[in-house]
Amino acid sequence: MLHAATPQPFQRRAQDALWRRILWVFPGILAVIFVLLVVVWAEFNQKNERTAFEQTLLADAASVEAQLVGRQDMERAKLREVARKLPDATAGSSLNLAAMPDVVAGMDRLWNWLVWLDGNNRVVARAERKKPMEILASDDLHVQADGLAHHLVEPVLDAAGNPAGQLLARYAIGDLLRSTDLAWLNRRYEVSFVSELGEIIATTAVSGKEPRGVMHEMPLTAFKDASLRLTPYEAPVSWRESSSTVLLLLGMLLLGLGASHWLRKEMRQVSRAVTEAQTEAAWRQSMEDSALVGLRARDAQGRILYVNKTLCEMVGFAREDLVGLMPPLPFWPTDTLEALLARNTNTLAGDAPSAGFETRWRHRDGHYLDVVIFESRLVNSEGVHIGWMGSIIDISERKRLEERDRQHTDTLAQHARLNDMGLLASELAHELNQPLTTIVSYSAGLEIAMKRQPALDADLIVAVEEVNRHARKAGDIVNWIRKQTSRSAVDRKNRDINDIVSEVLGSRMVQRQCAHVRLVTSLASGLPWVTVDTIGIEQVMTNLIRNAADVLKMKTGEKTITLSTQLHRRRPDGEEEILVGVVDNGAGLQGRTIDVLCSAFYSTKQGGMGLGLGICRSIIEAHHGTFTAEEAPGGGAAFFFTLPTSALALQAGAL
Amino acid sequence: MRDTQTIFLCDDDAGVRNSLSFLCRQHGFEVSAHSSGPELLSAIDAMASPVRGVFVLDVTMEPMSGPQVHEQLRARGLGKRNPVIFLSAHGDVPIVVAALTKGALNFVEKPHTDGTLLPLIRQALALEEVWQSQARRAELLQSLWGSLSLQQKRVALLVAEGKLNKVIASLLDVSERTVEVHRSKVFEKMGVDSAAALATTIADLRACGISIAVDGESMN
Repeated sequence: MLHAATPQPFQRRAQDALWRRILWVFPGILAVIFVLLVVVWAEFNQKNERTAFEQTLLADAASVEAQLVGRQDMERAKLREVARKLPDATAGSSLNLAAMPDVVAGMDRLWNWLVWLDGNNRVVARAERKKPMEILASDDLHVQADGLAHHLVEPVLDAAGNPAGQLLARYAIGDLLRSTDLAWLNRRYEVSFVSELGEIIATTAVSGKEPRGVMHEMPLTAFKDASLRLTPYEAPVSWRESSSTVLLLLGMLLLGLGASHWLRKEMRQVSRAVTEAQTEAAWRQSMEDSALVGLRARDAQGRILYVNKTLCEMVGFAREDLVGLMPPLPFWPTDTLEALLARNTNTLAGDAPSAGFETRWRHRDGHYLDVVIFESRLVNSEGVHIGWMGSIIDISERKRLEERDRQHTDTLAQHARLNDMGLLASELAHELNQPLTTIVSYSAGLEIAMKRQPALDADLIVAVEEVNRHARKAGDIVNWIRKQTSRSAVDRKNRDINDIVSEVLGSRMVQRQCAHVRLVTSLASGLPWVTVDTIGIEQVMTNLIRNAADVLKMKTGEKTITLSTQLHRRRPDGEEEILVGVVDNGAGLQGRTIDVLCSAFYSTKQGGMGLGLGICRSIIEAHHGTFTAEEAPGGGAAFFFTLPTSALALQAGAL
Repeated sequence: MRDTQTIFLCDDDAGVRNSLSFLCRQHGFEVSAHSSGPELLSAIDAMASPVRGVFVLDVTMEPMSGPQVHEQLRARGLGKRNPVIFLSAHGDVPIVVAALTKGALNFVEKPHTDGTLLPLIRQALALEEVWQSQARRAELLQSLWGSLSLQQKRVALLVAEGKLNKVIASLLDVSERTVEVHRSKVFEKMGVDSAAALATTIADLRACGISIAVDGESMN
């Protein structure tokens, strides 16, 4: 069954593998993975970089501190030098500390002032710098809290080496920083010194350069209450902040996803096309397989390339058995093999008749089948002739019907011929009957009359006796003929008359003859059986129907032949019999009686022998029935015949 | 007096009709030949005296077939007096069979080469004598019976049953003397001389199909 709306009568061969169907996802997934890997890698890289940077930062900070501690240590050493050079404290009161070269140097270098305290913390001497400090380095270092100062303390030892006071040097932290060479650091960091309170003591944050990155602060061991803050100018740049990288990754991702999308679309199209192709192929296959015509494709050498299911079933071989075979083919009957090979050669040479040719094949199980083969050229898409396409139609059934029909017609014809002879004899007998009766009667009478005459010529008596004798002999012959013909119906069977009517109406001959006529039946049911020669009765009906159909050919308008059967009581004795009628609505009898119609050699038809109705009558009379014709009530001819019911027929036969 | 027997021949074929007439005449029979049923019937109807003879009818004739003519003859009361022989042709068997069941004597197939027709005619003529005399006797008996009065018929039937006068008198509720008078009248009218002869005559009457019923008539 075909459903036009949803043409999906075919199961797909096999579901495609899952990976095949989601293949389109991979570009997208790859792109995502790639981007993620890049991000991870970048993050990792950045972390490493940051760690390295921080280590550098720590190292730098440490080296700054080391530098500052170094300075402090150096200053402390200088101060110790000064302390060592100091005279005894008692003498020191007069000492001009500021005049000492080491102190001058110290003052120039860093120290703001110097105080010498004795063991009792009394000032022994002091020196103070008068002029501001010359800036040696770190021009960019701006000291914000100039007041912040720091002390260096060194013990002053007496001659015995015991502590006898101390020497204090005071210096401004800003000066210390200012005099420390931090230029190498300045380039990379904004350097700030921050007090414990968070005040910026000094900073390099001046020169328009914006510090970025993470600020790093570490306490200075050199100054207990200050810490160093380094803010790098060049922090390692995060990939996230790099628009090009992000764009690149984003582009990558989009590209991958786009590729996926496109691939999906393409795959869907391909899949749809494949499905359509499969469906179409399935349709075609099923069409070819369900065709009533066998199909076979062969290459130019006659090798079978393709056969459809119908052909396989026709010959009983599987497709695999047939494809690839060369003639002679396995379903060719062996007795006609050579003829088939010769025709095959003709076909391959292109001489196959376009109207097809009939041949006989042999099914695998041994039965024969009649087929008609139509060969046509098989042409590929470039128009090149590559082989032969054969359409094979199984006509065995048609042949069988034709054969049966022909046999039936033959039987009828033979029967008709025999009946014609019988009728001829019967008609002759009938026609001779009356004159013979006359001759016999006259001659018998004449013989008597002559014998009464006195002195009659003896020769005349002999003559009339001979006439009488021969006339009787002729009468015997006629009677013998009549007995023969009346005995001719031999094979009689009990039948239902309606069955015979149905068989007649079903015969191809009647259907052919009555193609232009409406056939009506009016059959009584439950009729008693009749004992008849079926073929004879069929012939009567066929004959009557054919006559009616012939008459109706001349008529225009509605053409009807009515067949009727009914139970009927015979007029003289009331015996039951079957009345069968064949009534047409044609021109009617036109005054002709049944005797005229039935007489031998009387025909209204051109080319008619004029025996038809006569035969009908003799057949019916042989069945002890009667055959009559009358005008039909509505115009047309009505032929009736009666048949005794089976019981009466037996009775009559016994008489 | 002996009436001349006639062979009434009816056949629409002139040759057969004339030749059979000739043959029958040569055998010394009186022949009345007709070409159709109606002609024959009108000739019969025109005859004053009782029809004597046999009918030889062809089966297949127009416009009236042999069996139809036979039917008409029986309607005229000739079925029990004049035998009928059919001349049949091929194919008439059922019709002839039907006709035989209706009282036809026999049939002869044309042509009658085996010489069956003339013997059959002779047999039929002989039979006709018997039938005619039987018919005449039946007529006579009927007229005799008809001459009896109602009371005489009753007495006659009871006498024929063998009942004594005394019994009859009580049955009919009359005197024994009256019964005796009726009884002698019956014997006289019916031409019998004994109760046994009367019984035989009444049996004959019954056999001829003549109505002897008295119950339907008035009892007073």
